[in-house]
Amino acid sequence: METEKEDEEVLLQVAVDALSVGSVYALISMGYNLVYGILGQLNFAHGDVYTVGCFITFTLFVSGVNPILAIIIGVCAGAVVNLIVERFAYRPLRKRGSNRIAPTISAVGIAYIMRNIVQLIWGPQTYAFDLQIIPSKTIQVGNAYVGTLQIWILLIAVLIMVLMTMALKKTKWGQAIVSISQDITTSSLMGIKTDRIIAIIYGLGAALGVIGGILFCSYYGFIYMGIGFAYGTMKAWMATIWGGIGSLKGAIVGALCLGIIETFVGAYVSTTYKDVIVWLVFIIFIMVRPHGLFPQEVAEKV
Amino acid sequence: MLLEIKDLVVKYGQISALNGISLSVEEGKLTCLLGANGAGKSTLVKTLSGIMKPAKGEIIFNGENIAGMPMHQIYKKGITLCPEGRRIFPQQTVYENLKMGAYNRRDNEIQADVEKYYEMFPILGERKNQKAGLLSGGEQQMLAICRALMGRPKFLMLDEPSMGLAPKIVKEIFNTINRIRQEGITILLIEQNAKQALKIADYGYVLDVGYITMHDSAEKLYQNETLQKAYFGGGQ
Repeated sequence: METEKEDEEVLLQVAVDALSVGSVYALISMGYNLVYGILGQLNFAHGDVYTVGCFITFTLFVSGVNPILAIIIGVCAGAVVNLIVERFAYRPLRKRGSNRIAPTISAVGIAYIMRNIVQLIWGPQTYAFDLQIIPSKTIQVGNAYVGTLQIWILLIAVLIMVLMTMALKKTKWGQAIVSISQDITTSSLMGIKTDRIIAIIYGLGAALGVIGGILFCSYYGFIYMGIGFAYGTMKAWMATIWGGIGSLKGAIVGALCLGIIETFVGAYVSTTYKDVIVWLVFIIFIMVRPHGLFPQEVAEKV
Repeated sequence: MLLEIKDLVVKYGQISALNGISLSVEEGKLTCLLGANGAGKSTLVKTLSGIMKPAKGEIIFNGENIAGMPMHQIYKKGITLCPEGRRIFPQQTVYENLKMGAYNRRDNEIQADVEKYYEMFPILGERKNQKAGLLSGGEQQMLAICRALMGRPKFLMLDEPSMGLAPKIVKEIFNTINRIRQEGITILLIEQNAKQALKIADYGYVLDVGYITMHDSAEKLYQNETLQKAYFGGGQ
């Protein structure tokens, strides 16, 4: 009887953890997916670009800057870095009508450059990460104890995703992004300044990445140069495939699934083999549903 | 003349698609451009709308040379292309597609225009909240035309609007084009369906592998035997 109750309490804690990890992945995947939507570009630089923003926030904070201000500057810095990258590494390729492979390879290059810049400035060591804006307490829900940090992370991530989804649906520039992700040339025919909107997409993608990255670092309490690739790019890519390429809803649901599976495997099966098991589940999943959970619902009729 | 093209050369790499063509479009008139596949018809409208850049030549629109301008600037002059293959945004709703057509407008009559096209094509009104990709081919073509009109163009180019559609729908499309013309919009119509196009057009040009081989009033072209043999085929 006693153990059964304990099981329930643990389950609730794990569930909250799973949802907050999942929602952080969702935020990161959303930024990744925005870019994926436009050129079908596998943006391998996504994680490493936003890592720069996270480190800037971290450095500002430890040197005494107000944490909110540090976050804002970090988010803007991430966006600016991606704007520059887009201008010089992706746009010229797009203008020359390259295929999808070229910008992807370009992105791999950018990823290495960014990671090396981060390593050059901040070194390879792991730093403790705690912005101290969210009180890291536990609250009692029934008989279970749930961390406030996890709940806050979940709320912030969900709020930003809801705002973002609404902005895409309801604002003019949001609709322009949706159009461009379907057909760049036709969008230009509507008089949309596509270069500008595409730049905004990259900026926005990185901004969402930085926010996701900061939440990620807050959750685990550390930051180091590798957070972008292993925990960002690869997870976002996985979530995108999981959910269905080109579907924002898919990326969010895929990321949530990823977070949930990962956390439950970590809690109940093995922490050491967590990644191995998650990848195995992923591989089996794509064999069964190669187009993901939400395959492109509407095929263009010709 | 609303549009005057002088000695226009357009190339794909080393290969010329248009070898120095000249043509003009009179304001308020429907001009059609005929020709077989690969004649360069689409290349011409792609160049006029800025998708492609000319290698040589002038495109005078409303007294201004617009050759090589960026697409959004050309669009602002009042030139709109309704592209080949419809190219509606399949993931967006019918309503959202129409709104995209009015992307650059700042006035407060956008909603009124939307309603107007719902009235013109009730099916679009009925399906306004459905994804455009779910519409039939003919409905998508109507949507594509309305979307182009939402920008209130002075000059509308229609690239193969009847392509791949059932004869009954084709007729409806041509009726629609006629109606647009009556609203005073200058139209350049590209068609493989030469017979139908010449019936509603005022003037016509015939394009053949990058050269203009014939041009005359639509009436005269309609009666031209060489043209009849080459382009009317067994069609309706």
